[in-house]
Amino acid sequence: MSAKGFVRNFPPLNILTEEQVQQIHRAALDILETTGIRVESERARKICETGGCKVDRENNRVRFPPGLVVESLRKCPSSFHMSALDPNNDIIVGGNVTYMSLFAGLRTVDLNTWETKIPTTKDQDDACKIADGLEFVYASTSYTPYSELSDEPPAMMLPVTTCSRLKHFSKISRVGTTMGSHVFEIQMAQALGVDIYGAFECQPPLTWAEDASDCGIACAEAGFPVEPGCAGSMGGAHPVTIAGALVTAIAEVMSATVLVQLVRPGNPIIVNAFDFPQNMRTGDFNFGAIGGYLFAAGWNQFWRTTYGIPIMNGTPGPTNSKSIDFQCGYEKALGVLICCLSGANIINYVGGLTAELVYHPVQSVLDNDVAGYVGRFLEGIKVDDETLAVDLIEETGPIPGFYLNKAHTRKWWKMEQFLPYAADMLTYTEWMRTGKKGALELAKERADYLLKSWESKLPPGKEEELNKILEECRRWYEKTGRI
Amino acid sequence: MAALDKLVQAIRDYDVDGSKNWAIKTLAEGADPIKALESVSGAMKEIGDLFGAGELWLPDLIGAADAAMAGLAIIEEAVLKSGKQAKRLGTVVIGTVFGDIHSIGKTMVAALLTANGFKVVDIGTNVPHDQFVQAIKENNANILAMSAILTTTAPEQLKVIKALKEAGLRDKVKIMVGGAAITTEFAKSIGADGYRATAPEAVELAKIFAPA
Repeated sequence: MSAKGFVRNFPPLNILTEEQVQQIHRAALDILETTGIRVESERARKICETGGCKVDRENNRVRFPPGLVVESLRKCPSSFHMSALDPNNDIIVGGNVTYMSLFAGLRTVDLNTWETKIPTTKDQDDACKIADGLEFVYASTSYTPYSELSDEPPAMMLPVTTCSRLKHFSKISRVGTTMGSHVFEIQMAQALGVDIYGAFECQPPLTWAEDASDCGIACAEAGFPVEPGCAGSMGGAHPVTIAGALVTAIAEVMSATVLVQLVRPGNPIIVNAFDFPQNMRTGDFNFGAIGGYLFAAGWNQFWRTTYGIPIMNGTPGPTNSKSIDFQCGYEKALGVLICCLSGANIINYVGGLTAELVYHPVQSVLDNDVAGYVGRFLEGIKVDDETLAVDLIEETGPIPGFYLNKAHTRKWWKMEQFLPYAADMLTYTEWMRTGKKGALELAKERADYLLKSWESKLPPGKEEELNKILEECRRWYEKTGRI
Repeated sequence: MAALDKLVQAIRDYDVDGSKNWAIKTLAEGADPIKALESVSGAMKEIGDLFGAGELWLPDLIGAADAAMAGLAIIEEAVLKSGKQAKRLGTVVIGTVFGDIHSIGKTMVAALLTANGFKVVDIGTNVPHDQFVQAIKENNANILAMSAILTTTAPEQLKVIKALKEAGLRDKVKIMVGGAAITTEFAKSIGADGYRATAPEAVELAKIFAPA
């Protein structure tokens, strides 16, 4: 039985006309045919060449014929099933269903001083355990929750964090992609008999690093879904205009999809782009900026209305704010709403705070609540004889009639209302009496509770198997000088 | 308006072709190439001050730097031919470390350093540590600037520093590091001399590093 996710029961938000979508489509195909992609890997270049692309080895440029691109995209399934460690957390990706996923942060943060702290592997494990208990989270990106660990060398970051998630987070994980870690991460997933999806992160503009295409190829060969993605700064690595950024991002992800389909026709794909306006003072990303959400809405509409390929967004994961405050609240919440309304299927949202610098489990609890809040909106208004309640209305009549004591109310109120886990819903008097706790305090309590109540879902013997693969990875990195 | 004034205006207008053409005309009019260099530096300082005051933004800074570099390429050739010595703040070798092909940050820093009076040797991306050492030797560089965007490639910066020590060059260069994966603590832990988060700040640090 798979997780229900949030089912959107009304038409998605479209912000482009059909003609605009086709203009973007044609432009992306033109770019792939005339400019092409810089492909660092000879293995990837050979696959593309055999598949019908033009390869210029002098400058590692691969050009993609439009017919091949369109044919490849049409091979992608419009939905697919993924098996998690706990079958109740299986997901069906695609269509009008949205699942929330963890975002990532380099470090954690002190909730009093808002200064970052480098986490330990125990912090990593604990964050995974808390996330495992979050009701509306069903997946995770890679290098998550943390990507800098004080008690592990940087090269081990990916395999260590994947191993931690597979042990402590019984939901779907992404793997990859630097330094060939995906080889061992795939083995870990296969040891557990779970599905993962593989990162194929294009480097904007218009470039595949060798690690990225290697991971995409390996995951496809292993039969796992692949996430071709890109992360451009609009005005830096992508054009500053949102339309131009869409063209470039779509071209990049289309090209990666072609490679995956050449390796394994019909392989599941979920397309992702993580574009933000460039901060024109610092050169960094303007995380949380509305331009990023215009991009996301356009991205979602494009893929939904052209090829129907499942879609991922990561835009509402990070915020520019350095603390859990009003700015963090509005940047992330408005953003995840836009992503949901415009039809994303997996949203890397939960737990991210400052830029890609910080993740915090307390933020993950708060984001889980926002996810539930937005998810309730997506479900819409159920209209049928029972919910119209005409008979009940007639029976109840005018004052002194009321509804609180009716069976109809007892049956329906929990389905109609959303109850957050960490929001203040008390009366003012009760709030004063119980310590004036706000959402942050309540989220801390909830995080503590989720940590204490976590139970492992690993079958016997599997933890040892995962540890063995992790140590093989460590020895390989030592042998090859990465550690 | 003399050609030199028009060269300065071309930089203010972010006009790359204009800068090149007015540089040629400036020299044809017999202007002292050293004075021309100083005028270009003056224009960049003006742009930099306006950026610092919040009146201009990164696209303006980089646009002006690109225009300045186009003019400088012409003028520096003339300085070389004249046998005179151009005043340079220093020689910088800059690159992105091995395993990392990100280039935008590095390219921005390189452009701004050039426009601000440094000789810059940009050795590109995905650069193995021994090539950094080689470039420093060949160019007699006194500043090394390294970029790393990924957490997993940041340790390459330490490899470069170790290689410089082994080559007996560590004391001859000031090392600055940057990139999304880099922090002040990391820079300190690997023995770098400084870290800055943005390209304009990197230029200010290079000016501090510049030999007197």
